Amino acid sequence: MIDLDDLDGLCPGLPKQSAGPLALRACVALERRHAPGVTLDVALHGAPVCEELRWSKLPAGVAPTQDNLRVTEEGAVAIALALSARHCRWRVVRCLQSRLGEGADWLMIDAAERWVILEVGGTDEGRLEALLSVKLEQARTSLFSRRGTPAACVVRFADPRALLRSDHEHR
Amino acid sequence: MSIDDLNHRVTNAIVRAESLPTGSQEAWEAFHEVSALEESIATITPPDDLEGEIARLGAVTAALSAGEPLRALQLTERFLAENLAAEIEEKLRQLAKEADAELADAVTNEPTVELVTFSLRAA
Repeated sequence: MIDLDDLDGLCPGLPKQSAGPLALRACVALERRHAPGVTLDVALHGAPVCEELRWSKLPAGVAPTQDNLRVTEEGAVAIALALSARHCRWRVVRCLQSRLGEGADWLMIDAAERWVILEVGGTDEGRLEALLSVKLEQARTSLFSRRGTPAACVVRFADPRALLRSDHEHR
Repeated sequence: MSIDDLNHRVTNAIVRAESLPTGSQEAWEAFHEVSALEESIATITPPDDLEGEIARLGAVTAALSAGEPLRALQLTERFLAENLAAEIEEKLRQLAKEADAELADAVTNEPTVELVTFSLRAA
């Protein structure tokens, strides 16, 4: 179960001040069609996993104040960080600026203390497999991938689904 | 301040800065803070370490996003004197070109200032 109200508690290294806005956007993205308790279908390095997503229902009036694109992109980040913490035991080191270049959104560290360069993608209704290929390729060609493991996580909100893959895992 | 504290602070600053309208005064100020934090990380991390590379490039890109091309150029010059990987050096040189272009643009588009002479007479 992923409780979006406790994203910072779920993701070691993620400061509460950043977790709040990211989780809020995930809730807005999910509430376009779903209620708390919806199931997220996940493929982690190809292996299927189901996660229940919980959050406190948002007050009416919150969603219209949020930018749609940002909701999808940052909502995907919240889900990606939660999945990578729960299932891969990756710890957040820091966020990277988007202007630094494609392919590296977050610097993470795995249980063996190896760097992981995580690229995240979000879509409301788009094709997830194609998006994962693009994002993983971007992570592989990022300026920083020579020093860490490239990884990508993509999330779709219409029928909640996520794919996570890294180059250190068997494919 | 420890590297963990700085990483927390820079994460918060980036998440905030990137949520603000591009080119707004608020965004410029927020990116100035990002640049300062990245510079602090750069001072305590080696140039040939992943965190050090990210911080050095981050300080310069944030200065550009803050509308401070002169600061971006000064940082670039300082970092290029260090022992950086060739890829990072190349990226810094690209960023320096962006900063140069922004400075040239500012000079071209800024209002012309003309000298006006006048004399004061006693009332």
